[in-house]
Amino acid sequence: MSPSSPFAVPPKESEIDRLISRAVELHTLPAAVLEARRIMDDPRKNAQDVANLIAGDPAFSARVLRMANSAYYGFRRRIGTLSQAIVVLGFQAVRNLLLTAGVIEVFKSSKATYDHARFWTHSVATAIAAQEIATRAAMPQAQHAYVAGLMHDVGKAIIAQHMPEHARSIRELELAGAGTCEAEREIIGHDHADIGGRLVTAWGLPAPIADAIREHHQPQKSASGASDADVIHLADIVAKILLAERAACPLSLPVDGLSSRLGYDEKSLAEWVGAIAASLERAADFFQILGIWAATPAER
Amino acid sequence: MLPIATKDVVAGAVLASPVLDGDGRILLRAGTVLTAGILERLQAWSIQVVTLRGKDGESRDDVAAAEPGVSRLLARTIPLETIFPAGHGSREAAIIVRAFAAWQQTYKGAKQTEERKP
Repeated sequence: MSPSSPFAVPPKESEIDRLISRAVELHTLPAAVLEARRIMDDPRKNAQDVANLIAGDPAFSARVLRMANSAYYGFRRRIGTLSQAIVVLGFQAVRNLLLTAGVIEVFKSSKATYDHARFWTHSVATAIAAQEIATRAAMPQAQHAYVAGLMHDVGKAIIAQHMPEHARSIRELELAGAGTCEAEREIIGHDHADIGGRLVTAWGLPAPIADAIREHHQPQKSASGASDADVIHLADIVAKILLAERAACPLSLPVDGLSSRLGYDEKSLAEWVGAIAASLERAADFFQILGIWAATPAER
Repeated sequence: MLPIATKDVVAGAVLASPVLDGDGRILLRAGTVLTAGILERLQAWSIQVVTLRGKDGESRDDVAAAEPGVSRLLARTIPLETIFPAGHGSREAAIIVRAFAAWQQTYKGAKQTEERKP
């Protein structure tokens, strides 16, 4: 920390680390989400097994039914039972819905320390973009991309909810022209990418997901070849452009070598962007089912 | 006609299909206006999910009938410099913005054709 900074607070590394550890402990993934992941990964289980688990949660059951009956799936006949809905949606979509709803629930806070709807709109949009990019770039573990995209900025939610004083100092540095990551490191010694990586590691999610979150602003740090961090880096940028958000960290973007690692040129990048925009448009129902009310700036 | 959790229903919504008890008997008929009192009773009866009629008379979910926020965000036109601080844009960012603008044109065209259909 530079002693000349007007916003500097005394460095108390251990105290900050304690705050972060406590925040990570407070936000645990619901047991039902973990159980559903386990069941859906088990090839011996079927839609009825998943339905039996989900039926224990009426609010979530209603969401699965609403999604199966949404315009996106376009069924004329009403999907009335959970097991029918799960067959229609497929395990991947149910898993994404369950995880997304679970994660948003975990971070629900009565204290309005940040714009919840805006934060989750960007996170879900990045997840959807990441899934499209991972599939098109033929990533071996495309299912990691959605999770990493959803969670890539979760460190920001932790800072806003658990370190409001520090969040204010970070905001002041940003207003003075610093990038978000830079400001976070200056004030608390870690950036949101680090903190998010710690959280998903604590949740026991696969290591490549934690790495992707940790490195999403500097994917060139990852090992050779395309990494999930490359995917999240591009997905973050595309989501910001498509939903017209201001870049938080100064992104001299996309980073060097990204196009050769992910295997796109000008033409295919343009095609990917079209596919992502179409995918977000189709997902409009999904955002509503999640209860994310993405307001345009004029409505805020 | 989409199911919605009873606890999320706002008073004034109209049932699209009847509410049945565990034996299939009709507790409330389709078309019933759900007042605050009825909503309380539904909770007491442990009826956790109901289907609602939309305001236009068609069977649509009242929540889903609202303008989708993401569609609105996608419909806006945004200059590159408002997204990225000066000097931080790149050639690839410009490609993304152009590709998105092209998608918006095609998408708007498709929407208008759809609206013209009887």
